[in-house]
This record gives sequence, C-alpha cells and structure tokens, in this order.
Amino acid sequence: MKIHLRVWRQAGPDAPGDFKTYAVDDVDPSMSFFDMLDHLNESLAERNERTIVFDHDCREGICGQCGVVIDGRPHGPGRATTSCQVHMRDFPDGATIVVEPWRAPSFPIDCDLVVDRSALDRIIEAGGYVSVKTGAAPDAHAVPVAKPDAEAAFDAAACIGCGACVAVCKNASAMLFVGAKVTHLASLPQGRVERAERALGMVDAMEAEGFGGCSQTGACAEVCPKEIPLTTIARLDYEYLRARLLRFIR
Amino acid sequence: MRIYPAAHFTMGGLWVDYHLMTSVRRLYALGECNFADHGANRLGANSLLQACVDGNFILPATLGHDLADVVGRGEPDPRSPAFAQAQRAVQDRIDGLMQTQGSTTPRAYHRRLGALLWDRCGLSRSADGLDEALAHIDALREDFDRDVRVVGRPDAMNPELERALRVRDFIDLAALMVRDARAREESCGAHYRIEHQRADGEARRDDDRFSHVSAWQHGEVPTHHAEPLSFSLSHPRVRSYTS
Ligand code: SF4
Ligand code: FES
Repeated sequence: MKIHLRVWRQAGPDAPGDFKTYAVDDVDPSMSFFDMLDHLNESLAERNERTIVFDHDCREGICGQCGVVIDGRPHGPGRATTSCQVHMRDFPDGATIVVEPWRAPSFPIDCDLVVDRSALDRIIEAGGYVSVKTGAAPDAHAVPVAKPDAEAAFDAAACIGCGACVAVCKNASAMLFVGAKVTHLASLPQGRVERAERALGMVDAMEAEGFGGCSQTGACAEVCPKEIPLTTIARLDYEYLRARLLRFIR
Repeated sequence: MRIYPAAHFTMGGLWVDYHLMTSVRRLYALGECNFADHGANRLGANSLLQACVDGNFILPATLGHDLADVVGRGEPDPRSPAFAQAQRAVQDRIDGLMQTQGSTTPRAYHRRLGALLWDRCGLSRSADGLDEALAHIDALREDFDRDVRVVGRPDAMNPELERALRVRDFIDLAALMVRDARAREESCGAHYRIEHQRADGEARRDDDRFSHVSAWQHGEVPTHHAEPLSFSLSHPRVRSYTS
C-alpha cells in the first residue's frame, strides 16, 4: 500500500518547526506504524537526508517510551494501545496520515516527534518511592496485602508514564498520571510510610512544572493506553485532602 | 499465524560478585545486564524476577556499605584526567563514524549481523558454523569501519549516530557470543551444539568439563575465566518431559 505522511519536522528545541509531507511506497499492511517510519527513515538515510526522530524502546506497549499524536489522537486510533502497537492495516491504502509530537507547555519539543518528558520524572522524584529496610533481606511474603488492595494497586501501577493523558488534555493536566502513582503506592502497606508527604509533594511538583488542573472531561482516561480509570484522580484528591487535614491537625 | 522460537537474548551479561559489583570497583550492575540468575536459558519473565531480586533484596543490603565510604567526599571532578580521557575516547569514536561517510546505513549492518547470528549462532550451532561466523563477523567489522554512513549531525539528537555506535558494539558482542559458543563443547540450556546430542535429539551436557560460568575479560583477544558452579542441595539432572 501507499501512504502520504504529514510529519512535524523540527531540527532542535529552538529551531522552527513545520509539517513536511512524504510519500511512502511499498508499505506492507502487516507493518507496525513504527516499522513504516523505519522504512521511510531508511530511504531518507539512503538519500543523505536527516531521518525523522521519534521515541521508542520496547515496541510492545510496556515501556512507555513511545508517544506520537496520529491524526489528532495521542497514540492513534486504537483503544488501550500505545503508538508502537498501531498497525498499517488500520489505515486505508492511499491514506494521508498526520503525525505530531505531544503538545503541552511542560513537554518542550526536543526534535521532530520527541518531547522532553522529564517533568514527569521530577514529579516521581517528589514522592514516587517507598522506604525499604536495609540489612538482612526480608522474606518476600513478610507483608500480607489484602486481595482488593493488591488488585487496586496493580491496576494503577499499569501506568507506563507515557504522557498521553497530558497531551490530550485541554488543560495539559497530569492528574491521571499523578493519580495513578499515588493510588498505586497508597493502596499498599509498603507505601504507607510516605503516604501524606507523597500526595503533597507530587501535587506541588506537578504544579511547579506548569501542568494544568483537572476539569474532569475524561479525555485522559479515553486515550490512556493502560486504561487508568478517572477514579484514580478522585483517589488523588482524597489523599491530598487527607494529607492537608493531617498537617492542619498536627 | 505462524509461531517459531527465536533468539532473543545473549544468555549472558556483565560479571558481578555477590554484591552485584562488576570487576570495575564501585560499578554495580543490576537486573538483566548482569549474568547472574537465569542459568543457561533465560526464560520469559526471568528478567522481571531478576530486577525484583536484585533491586529489592540484594542491593539494599550491599550498596549502603559502599556508599558509607563516599558520602561527604564531594562529587567527582569532571576536569580530572580520567574523565578527560574517557570523554576524548568517546569523541574520537563519534568523529570517526561521522567522517567515514560511506554508503551503508547502520540498520543495514544490523540486519546483516542479525542474519549471521540467526544462521550460525542461533537455535542450533555447530563448530564449523561458528568458525565461519567468526570470520564473517571480522569481515563485517572491517566493512563497517570503512563504509558506514551516518546522516545528520553529531551535535544534535541523532538516532542514526546512536544506532551506529550500538551496532558497532553489537558486532564485538556477537564475536564474543560466537567465541563462547565455540568453546563450550556441550549442549546446555539455550546453547544447542548439534555435535552434542543424545540419540533422541535432546541436549547432552558435559558436567565434568563444563559445569562453570565463562567470563571473558575484555581485550584484543578476550581472556577466558571459568567460575565453577557448585551444587549442594539440588543437583542438575537430565531434562525430561515425561517423568
Ligand atoms: S495515566 Fe495512562 S496516559 Fe497517562 S502517563 Fe499513565 S499510562 Fe500514559
Ligand atoms: S515503545 Fe515501549 S510502549 Fe511503545
């Protein structure tokens, strides 16, 4: 099949950017979207042109490294899939596909389709950790966890930190991401030590990084490749309020 | 849908001691990048297990000991001769790649290397195939150094340059894998030498000669170190799917 690709090209953080159109021939429907980009890049390299830069690592939907906006939707047309899980068979022959980077003030563009998501790392630094005991290694089953708590934590822990929730949000809010992290750790006994400091610290960091607030349109949960539910945001609100109250009482 | 077994792992990694420290003092290697836990075949999800065990159980008990000694000593000086030397070495490598201006992309070399390993150091291996592979890899390395093409700039985000650096490393790693597979005259785990099989086609180990981990010390020609495996509680047996 043949594809027309309109891709955002931007040589560096301070360089001007613009869309450029490429005709890609010999696209096999069984190719993934990134296989197709590789294929295009190989022909660009053969013609001595700068290749299109995009983030990727595992290419199987588990690492969170990839993320592009395909035809206006973060991670493309599918439900619960990452950009690397999009396949060319999902597009008609001759289609024109528009590819852009995440757009959010807290995610400055590094190059072409790559944005700098280190703001999310700094939120993690502000509370995404637990205390561990040093000394002799504990038994793996030393801390019992109730089944529903384990399930809740596990569902929230599925967040891969891709940032699609921010990219789709009209407020560029990171509430779903932070909600997932706070829910994950607050649900487990191991996460209780820093429970209050975590909620306060991560929300402060989120605001300091310039992410917007939540107005509950739910677009984030709609595009989230891991189907993190909106209820994690409610849990974040609860944890934050609880921490503020505790601080007030003390 | 067709399903086939595929080579997906080197079945090895950096040598570490029981504290997870490499042969370079204070350089620790955790998780999949070390050689430690998975034995002769790294099965699915073992990487996760290794990340958990190394990160949660081992490192908290070992790293602190080492850190206690450096806390408060300040940060290493980036103007030290060791740092300058390392930086120059990397810069020279990058300059060399950019100046080659050949005709073959790093991805094309990656494919050739992959096909070579797949055919001769993949699911089944033979002494002749491995000898051939080593010769082919040497030729590929020469070809790469003479004819690689890296487009884009060295001072900007450039995945072509990154790939060139990686593929050049993969070539050396491939040579090491082949050398190790050639030296191990037995079949064991994911390493199946067609010369060493039982009448029914199952792998034949040689515990008398090869019950050890091979660690290869970097050098023009790598030096072999054998670290014996000792079993006290459960002992290696012959794999059987019937009993
Ligand atoms: S909540 Fe979903 S969309 Fe947001 S970073 Fe996590 S996985 Fe990505
Ligand atoms: S490349 Fe890892 S999730 Fe897409």
